[in-house]
Amino acid sequence: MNKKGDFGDLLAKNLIYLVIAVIAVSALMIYIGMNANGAGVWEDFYAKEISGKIVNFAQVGDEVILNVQKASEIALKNGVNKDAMFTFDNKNKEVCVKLRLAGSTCFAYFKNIQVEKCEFKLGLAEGAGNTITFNLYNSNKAEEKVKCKLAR
Amino acid sequence: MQVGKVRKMNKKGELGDQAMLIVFILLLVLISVGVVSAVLIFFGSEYDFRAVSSEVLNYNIRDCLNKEGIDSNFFGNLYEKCGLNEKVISSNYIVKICADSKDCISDAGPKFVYGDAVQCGLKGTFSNVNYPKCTIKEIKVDGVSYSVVVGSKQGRRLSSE
Repeated sequence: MNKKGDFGDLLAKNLIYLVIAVIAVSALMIYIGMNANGAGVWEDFYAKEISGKIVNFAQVGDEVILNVQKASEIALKNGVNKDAMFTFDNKNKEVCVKLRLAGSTCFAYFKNIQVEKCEFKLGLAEGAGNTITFNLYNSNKAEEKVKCKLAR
Repeated sequence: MQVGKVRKMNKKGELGDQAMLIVFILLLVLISVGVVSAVLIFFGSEYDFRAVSSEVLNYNIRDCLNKEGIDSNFFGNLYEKCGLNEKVISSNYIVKICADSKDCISDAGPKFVYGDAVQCGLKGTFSNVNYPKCTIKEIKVDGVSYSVVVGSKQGRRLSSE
């Protein structure tokens, strides 16, 4: 019997437990971290508000400037590309919002309208939030998918 | 080769050193399931937009009835006249339009109908989340009273992109 109670021996015997525990806790922490900022909830909110209350009420020729400060904060924190946060699908009539790396949330609008020229602008002035600006037309010339790209 | 060496039998019937590993993994799985379920319950429920979307479509249809003027072709070309997307509406909405009707939901001769508007008249519609959310509004155009019934069952679409 090992009366000295060597720490090394104890560690070696329980190494497998430690490794598994560290992997499991890390995975859980990553999962909680990904959900804690509510990216999924905000995606849902923005997709429905933009589609349901803005595009469905818009008229041909309208230019929409929308403050998306909260959404862009979450997306940038989660490492989402600035050009990929908001996408208008002119073919399926959908607005897709991506605030997390794994997946996005889409919501369809019933208005037969085309979205063109969408830009994501950083609010550089003090107190100004980040915005997206897009134009609505009734032509069939618009691209199938219009991404709100960062204005350079 | 060694001769005469007898292997000692384990008479104590001890479990192996790592036998508790299964119990440990089960415990971790149990904790993980608990955490994931809690996160899903807290963040997973969808933002219910159906009442708003049925209200907005109802408004769009009434606005169109008022602005476009109703001729003999109007209800046959409702989607084109009102600038509505047939594909989106047919997969997510219920629409029924009646003229001078006291009860549009059960009216047998509507001017326009898509989907089963009876769902909008059921009592369960108000309390059961699985029923579509409906809006029933009226508008008077050229002396005729039009009832517009719109039900929405539209939900989000989760994309892997």
